[in-house]
Amino acid sequence: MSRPLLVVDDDTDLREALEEVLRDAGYTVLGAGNGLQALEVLRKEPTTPALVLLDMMMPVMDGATFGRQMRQVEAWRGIPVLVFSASANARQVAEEMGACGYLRKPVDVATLLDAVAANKAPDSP
Amino acid sequence: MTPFRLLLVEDSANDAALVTEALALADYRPTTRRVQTLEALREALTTDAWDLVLCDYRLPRFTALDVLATLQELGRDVPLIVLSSLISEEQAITLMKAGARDCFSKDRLARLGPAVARELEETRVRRERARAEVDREILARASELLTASLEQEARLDQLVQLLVPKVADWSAFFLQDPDRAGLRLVALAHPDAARRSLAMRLNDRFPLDPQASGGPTHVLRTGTPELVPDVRLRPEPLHRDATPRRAVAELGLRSVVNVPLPGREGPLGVLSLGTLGERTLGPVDLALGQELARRAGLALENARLFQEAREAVRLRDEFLTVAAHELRTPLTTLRLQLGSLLQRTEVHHLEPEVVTRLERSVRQVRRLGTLVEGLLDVSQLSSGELSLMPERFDLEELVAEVLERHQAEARAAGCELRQSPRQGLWGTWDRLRVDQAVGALISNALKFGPGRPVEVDVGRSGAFARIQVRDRGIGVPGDQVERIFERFGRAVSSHSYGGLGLGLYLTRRAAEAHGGRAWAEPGLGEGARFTLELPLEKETRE
Repeated sequence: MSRPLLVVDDDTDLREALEEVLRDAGYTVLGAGNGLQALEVLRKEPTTPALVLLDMMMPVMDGATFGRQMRQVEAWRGIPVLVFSASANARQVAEEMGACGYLRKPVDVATLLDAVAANKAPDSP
Repeated sequence: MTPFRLLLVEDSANDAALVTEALALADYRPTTRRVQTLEALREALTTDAWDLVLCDYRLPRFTALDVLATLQELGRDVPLIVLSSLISEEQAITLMKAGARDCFSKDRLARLGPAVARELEETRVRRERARAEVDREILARASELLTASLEQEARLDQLVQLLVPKVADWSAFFLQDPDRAGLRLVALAHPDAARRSLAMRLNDRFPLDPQASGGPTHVLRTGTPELVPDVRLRPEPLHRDATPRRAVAELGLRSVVNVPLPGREGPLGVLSLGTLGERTLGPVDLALGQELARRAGLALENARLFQEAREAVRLRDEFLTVAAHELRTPLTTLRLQLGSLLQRTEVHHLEPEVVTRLERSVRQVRRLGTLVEGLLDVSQLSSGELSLMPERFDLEELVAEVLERHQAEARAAGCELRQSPRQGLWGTWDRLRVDQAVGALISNALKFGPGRPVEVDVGRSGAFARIQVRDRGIGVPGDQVERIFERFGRAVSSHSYGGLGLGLYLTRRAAEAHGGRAWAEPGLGEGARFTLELPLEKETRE
């Protein structure tokens, strides 16, 4: 069974657009509006996601906090995180939190799909 | 006749009376004090100001030579005339050499009147000159202080110190305080520490009445300077309450000068000078105060404008950063939506018209993205260097890609885009930055040279790869070739040509970050030529 992708972004329109594009490309996609919701999704979801596409600036729980908390759980520690940020220092943020890479908003469909394909974990762990 | 203050050193009451009489005959009725000992002389010279010393040659325990020595020791510029019944020519010469202004026998007192007139006049001239010298020095030091970029209040603090004790016994700066609708004491020079802190406390506890009929607040309100030779004669007290009134009296003020600090929109504050005891202030002090206040006002105004300008630039940069950041999220959504729609049109074979419209939308969203990136780069650049991510690539291939992306824009502008024949030109640069720089040059050429071909030459020039973009448009005036590379710089009115004026600025910064250059040459009626040079060797900074 293919592992889902988890998209975490507080902007609903953007999150849904991302989900659509990724579904069109054949992925199963889960969504969360902030870090706390994302942890909730991870807890409920029987299959560990193959990748987290993570916005940084979010209400309730931001990307950095989510990243730290996720890494504290053994089962989630290995999930690749792709930082998805509008900030100019997205690269630095990604390095600091040990993410596998970063995408700077805005991106086009091709760049997004390439980055996801290159960074997601294989389906059978 | 001019009133003057006479210090008479004389042990004989009779002789003193004779002197007074002789002076009266010459129509002089000075304020006189008689002393008979060196101690009394010293005390008189220390506490008061004198215009003339008349002195007997020989007194019970000292002579006129000791009087001269005391004057010199205390540094008092007061002329001394020796009167004596018994004095040899030799003694007279010694006295004159020691600094006596004149010397004659008591039986020739008829000479006294003319001698006094001469000495008073000479002293007046000498003192005026000395005062002018003091004023000049104070103003020169004040200008030095005011141009040094110090903290505003520290500057004012040093400024008031300049005046004390040379010109006044105390000096203060009050600045307008919007919170108190009046004045705030910001700097005070006073020789007595206890009185200084009393004045400070007074100012905190009893702010000056903004509606007072005199004093600093009145000067602030009316903008008219004030000279009060004797504050005890003020028609109305500055404080209505008895407590502060008593406290003010304790300060022991005698004369005050209050002058406004001129600002463009009314007085910024008030400079106060004052004396204690017998010393008084006059028109000369008022004039010095006004000149000093004028200079201080100018410096404060400049400092304020500078501060405001810096704050405005900071706010602009902050706004640009926030705006660019906020614009990115909707742009991402739009791009992804349009991108996926376009993919579906391919799958579902929709009408070509829909595809064309979608493609146009994608192009415009991409253009919006470029503009937003430019804004963010600019605000980032104002706080530091451009960071590069170098990789190895073929510059000619990149230029071809950029041209391809601009084909639609070129068609709309009626321009033909031509690139020199490709041979391959490899180097290590930041692909994204070079792409942006070349794109900016091409957009610029299309914007200012519509309807004519735009030629792009890629080649080598020594150790550099060189890209030249040539248009046949309006050209760049000779005096604008540098300005157009500045932030928000443009050679034409923003009403006739749009754009943010950022493209060329970013092009130059990108070139410089690589260790290269970007410049323009004005074409004489045949368009402009822009050149971008990037080093071929590994000089690229990470």
